[in-house]
Amino acid sequence: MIRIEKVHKTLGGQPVLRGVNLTVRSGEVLALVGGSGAGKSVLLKHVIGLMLPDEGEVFVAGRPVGRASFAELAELRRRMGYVFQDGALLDSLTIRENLRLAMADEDCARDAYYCPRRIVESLATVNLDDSVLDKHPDEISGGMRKRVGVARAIIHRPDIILYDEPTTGLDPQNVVQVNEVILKARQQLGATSLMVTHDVAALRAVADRVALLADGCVRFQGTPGEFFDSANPSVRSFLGRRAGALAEVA
Amino acid sequence: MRRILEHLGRSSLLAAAVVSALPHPQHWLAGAFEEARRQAYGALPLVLFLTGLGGAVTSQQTGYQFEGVLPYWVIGSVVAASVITELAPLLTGIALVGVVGARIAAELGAMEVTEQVDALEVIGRDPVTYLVVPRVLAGLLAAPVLVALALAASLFAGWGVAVLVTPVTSAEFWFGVRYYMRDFPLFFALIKGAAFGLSITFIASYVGLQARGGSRGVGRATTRAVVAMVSALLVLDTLFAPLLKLVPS
Repeated sequence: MIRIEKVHKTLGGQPVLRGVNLTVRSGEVLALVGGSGAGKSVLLKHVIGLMLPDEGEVFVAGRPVGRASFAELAELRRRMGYVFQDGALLDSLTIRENLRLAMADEDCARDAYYCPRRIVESLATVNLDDSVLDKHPDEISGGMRKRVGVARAIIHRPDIILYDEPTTGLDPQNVVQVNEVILKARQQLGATSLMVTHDVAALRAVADRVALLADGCVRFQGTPGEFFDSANPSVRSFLGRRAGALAEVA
Repeated sequence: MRRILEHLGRSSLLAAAVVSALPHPQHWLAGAFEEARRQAYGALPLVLFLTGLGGAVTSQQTGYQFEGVLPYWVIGSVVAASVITELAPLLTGIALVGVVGARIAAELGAMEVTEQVDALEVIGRDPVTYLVVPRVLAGLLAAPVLVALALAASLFAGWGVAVLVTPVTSAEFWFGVRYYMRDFPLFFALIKGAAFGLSITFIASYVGLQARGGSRGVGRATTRAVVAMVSALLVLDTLFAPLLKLVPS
């Protein structure tokens, strides 16, 4: 479904991606892990065409994202949902307007009840009720904003969902809820998911496969079980750093 | 030099994107009117305050300088000439930079650094159509209206001060104003206002969307935008001056 071939990207004179190769199969949840600044979010932005590679190509549903015309890219994006790290809800709009904006005007025009129904349904998917609809993003909690961000990403029933650290900064209860939403999206929509995460626990909970990005390349790919048992030095180093960070917090 | 060329290239691309969004008013019309209302109401108190003071100062200075040299009604002519061709549009522009331009640059800068602009793009909405076009067209609409109100405020303030602090009478002052008054300078002031409104909102939008790197980036972008807007205002003002030669005598 998503094929990343030899992607290179330099930002501010620093090489961030150095020939990344990665494939996300149809219907699977692939978790992309790596240290801070490893280029995980940058790679995700290449998949949806917010960034273009210096070299290499990203294919989504067999179509090259980097060489897509404006109309082709718009069509590809209609098949994708993107969950931003901090929600990225438009703060001048209410939650209702934010969700409405993510739906195609044509669908809403055809059926007067389509918009309100889909808005309530997508909020219910992330365990929120319609009491938040007329609030602005700054009037709800960070966890709720993140869940509304997920609702916005799935409201148009995409085939592919990209998650940029969907659980970072959430309390344990919200982490469980967001993980459930990711699983629901796969079961109910059959969506292919690429999830950037720092959350090691989420790997076991939701991921079918794990890929580790380090030094600008994919250093490991495998199931979560293989990942945790791997003797790969990059994996050991990443897991060691995570364990150290968790011990420090504890 | 390379940076200047980069900015010229990017701003030209933005201008082209704004023009290409114009044939789809269903996406920007409502936003443009709402934004125009916001800009006009937001800037109006400062515009009236600044232009009122501008008219008052011009009136006083003219009275002091010309006392005993020229007939008093000349005060009315000088005040009218100064405020219509120069002070009202320029002071309105400066008020717009502070109230509207800085707000737009900070707003769009904050949207850029918090990925709201990316989010719009991802959900299939063109950020230029939704964010830039309504703001720029609103500037084009609101600024001439504000200039017209500024002209009235500065003339009335000039008249009030002239009558209070110089020996000129109301009849002499308004005779002077009417003696100078022509259609072209009024039209010129409104056109100048529209050009100022357009350039202020466009520069603010462009610089705001270039913001990078969190709240510091937003602060830097807002400062850059204010410097660029004030500079552009004065450059445009200088370029407009020769057009006044077209005034029919």
